Amino acid sequence: MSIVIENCSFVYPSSGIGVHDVNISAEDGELVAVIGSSGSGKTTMLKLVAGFEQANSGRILINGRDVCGVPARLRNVGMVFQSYALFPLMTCAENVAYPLKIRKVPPAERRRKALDMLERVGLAAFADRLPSSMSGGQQQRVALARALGFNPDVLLLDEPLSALDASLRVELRREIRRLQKEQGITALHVTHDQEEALSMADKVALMHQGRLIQIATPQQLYDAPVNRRVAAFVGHANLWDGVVVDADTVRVPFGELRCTCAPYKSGDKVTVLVRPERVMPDPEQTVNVFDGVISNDSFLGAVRRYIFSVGDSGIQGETARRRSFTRVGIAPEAVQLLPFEEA
Amino acid sequence: MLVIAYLVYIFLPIALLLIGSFGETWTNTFLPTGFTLRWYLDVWNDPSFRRAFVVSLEVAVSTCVIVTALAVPLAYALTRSMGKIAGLTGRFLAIMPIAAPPAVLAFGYILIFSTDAMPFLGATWLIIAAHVVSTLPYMFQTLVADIRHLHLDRLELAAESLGASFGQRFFHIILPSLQHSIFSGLVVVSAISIGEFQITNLIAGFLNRTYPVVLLQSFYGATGFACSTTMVLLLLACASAAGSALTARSASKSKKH
Amino acid sequence: MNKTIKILLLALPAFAVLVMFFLVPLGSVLVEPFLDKGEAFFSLWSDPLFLKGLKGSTLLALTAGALSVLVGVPVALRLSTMKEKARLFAMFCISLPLTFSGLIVAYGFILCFGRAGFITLLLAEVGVSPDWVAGLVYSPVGLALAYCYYLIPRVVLLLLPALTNFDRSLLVAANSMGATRLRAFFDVLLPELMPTIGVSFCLVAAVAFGAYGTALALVGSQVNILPLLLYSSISDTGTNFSQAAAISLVLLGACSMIMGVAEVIAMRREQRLKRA
Repeated sequence: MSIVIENCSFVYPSSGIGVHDVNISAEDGELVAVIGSSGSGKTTMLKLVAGFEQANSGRILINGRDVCGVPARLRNVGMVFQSYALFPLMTCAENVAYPLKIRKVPPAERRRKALDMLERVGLAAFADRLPSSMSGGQQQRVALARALGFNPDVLLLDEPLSALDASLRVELRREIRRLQKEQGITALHVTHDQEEALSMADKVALMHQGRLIQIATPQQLYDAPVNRRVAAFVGHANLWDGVVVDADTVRVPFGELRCTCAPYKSGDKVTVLVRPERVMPDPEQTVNVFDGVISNDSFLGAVRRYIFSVGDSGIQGETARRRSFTRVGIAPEAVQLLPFEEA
Repeated sequence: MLVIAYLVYIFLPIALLLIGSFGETWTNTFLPTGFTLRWYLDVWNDPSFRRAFVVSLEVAVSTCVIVTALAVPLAYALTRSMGKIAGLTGRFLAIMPIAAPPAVLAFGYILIFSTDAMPFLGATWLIIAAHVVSTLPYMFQTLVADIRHLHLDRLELAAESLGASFGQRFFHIILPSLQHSIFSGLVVVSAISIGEFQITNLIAGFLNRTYPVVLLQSFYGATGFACSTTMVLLLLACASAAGSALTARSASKSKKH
Repeated sequence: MNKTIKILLLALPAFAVLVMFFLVPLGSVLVEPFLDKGEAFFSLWSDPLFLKGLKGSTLLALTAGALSVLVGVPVALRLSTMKEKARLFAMFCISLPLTFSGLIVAYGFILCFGRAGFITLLLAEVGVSPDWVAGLVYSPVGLALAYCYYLIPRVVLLLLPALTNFDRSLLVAANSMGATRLRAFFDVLLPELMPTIGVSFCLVAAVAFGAYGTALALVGSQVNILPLLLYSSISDTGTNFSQAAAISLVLLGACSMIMGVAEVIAMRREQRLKRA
């Protein structure tokens, strides 16, 4: 089972916004997270796959079958909504059994299957309760059971956790991932929470203003962002404007950094990326060493996040060290050059 | 204190009507003297009141059925397509019953439906039509508020993704979800229809006058008789409200099982 | 596109009924005065009976509007601070008159304020002349009192959502800055309520301007208000259609205008909320 989105474009007739020429693919059993800020088109992508909107151009293949023109109800996709969208007048078991009822499964069997599904999300005891009498986390579990209970071809998750408390969110992330792996179902997960995406997904697709910017594994996305926007969206980042001086030097506002500048040539303007955890206090090295003072210090438990002022510039850093320091260093291999972009 | 005073203002006339309907005589005294059921028997034995009572029930029941059949699809359609037409129709429906005074609308009926092409004035179905038009906005507004409040659009999307066709969504999700607002809308619709006087008075024929139209005549007679006829209307309004509530509820129950 | 058409098809039956039994009759009323080139319409303005009726209706609409708001606002305020259960019960009682026929109200008022009414006799005990009370009740101002019976609930029902949505901590904040409770009410709450009050005033004024049922039952067709004038020119006594059409035009125009004002107020409020 797979989802392939090929050169998909769609524009809302009323507002003129939409998605343009998007390519995303999820292989069998993969969970692909689509992230981006609001208005980036990530939810529109999901609606296109679900069939709530029909793409203007391009193809969407579910399990190799081109589903363009197929109405939503015939696509056999399981979907989990941000607002749970449980039917308020049906009990949990009735909710989970509803897609089976539509598919003309006999009552006794669909009840059995529904109970089995509820068992798997740990809510068998709640089978005959109405959704309104349950907590948000429980309701979303029921919604998950409903979306998976009728053996859909793929699972679509539309910000399923954003209405929940922070602590519940982490718990449900694991739950979703576990069920998705158990069922071996291919899933598309839309979220604005990058941490959620990085921790759950096999691949992450980052969208901005209706376009796909980068699709890669979470590690690749963090370690090798294709541009400034990806770097800023995923994790924390120092992003400085820079000019390449020679093959292994780049000038940044507070001095010069040694690094590998290829393929950029001297004189090129670039955006310089250094992740905060790569900034070393009291370094042993001698290159890329800067003196200054800690100007902003927040203690976050395991780490401490600070801004190290060098002249008028600030270097954002993270360290486990609790002592004060007046010198930081950046290893040359920690410096990455990205195409120049205004902040 | 204020609310209690206001409640007294509301219930005093009703209480006096109730007391008066059982009073033997009531002239220039605080309260009537003597107790009698005579006035109610008089109403019961009066053929024109009996006929009017039956006409009113017929009209109210028909109005309820037609309004529900028209308003549910209308409210659903207008909340689903949020276009300009939908918005304008909604606003129009909200203003309409007040911007067009009942006497003016009735005059329009007299002009249009007494022509040779459409000689319908005096027909019972025309009364029903007038009641439908004047109660539709109330049902519509109740439904629209509920559709928005319940986020039916989201539930419908969910049902669609689970494979439900339009008909299945309508009967499994939308109709059951709206049962409460249909029921509360029907209470208002039936009460308005039972009590409607201003249009009906001008367009009803002699034989299909509704209860309120006949009631007016009794105001010029004995106090006790007027009180009891008015009480009958009051009870009829309450009963129809209760009746439409029960019907809506049992209908939704029978559908569920 | 196909989907939109399908959905609009659902609205079609209701649209058809509204056109046939609302728009067409009203349209015919609008056309009628032009058939005699507006002669009846223009002669109306020199008819003393019409002018008196216009004056009566205006007075009635303004009095009913003002009275309903004056009573409705405090009642709604009090209700909004009540506990949920008590409020629901009070709301039920208050909205009861809304569903009553105007005739019930009329006869109830005759029993209360008529020449031999309960309240009239009660007031006579303390020396108020029954004739004066009855005279007041059967005038346009008195009619307004009767109309209030089912107009006040409308005001309360319109105001209550606005009041329950109002953030009460704003009043506490005003108090903390030194404003008295009364001052806070006038400076913080009232401006917030003003649009809703305006809308409800227009609404009840328009109803009072256009209704005739209660008035007919209370005083017959003798009192001078426009809807009753219209009634007597179409019912059996007169049957003067060109005059009726002219009066209809004035009634329709006036009520639509008042409702138009209400719409403008409501829309402004919505826009302001959207911008905020």
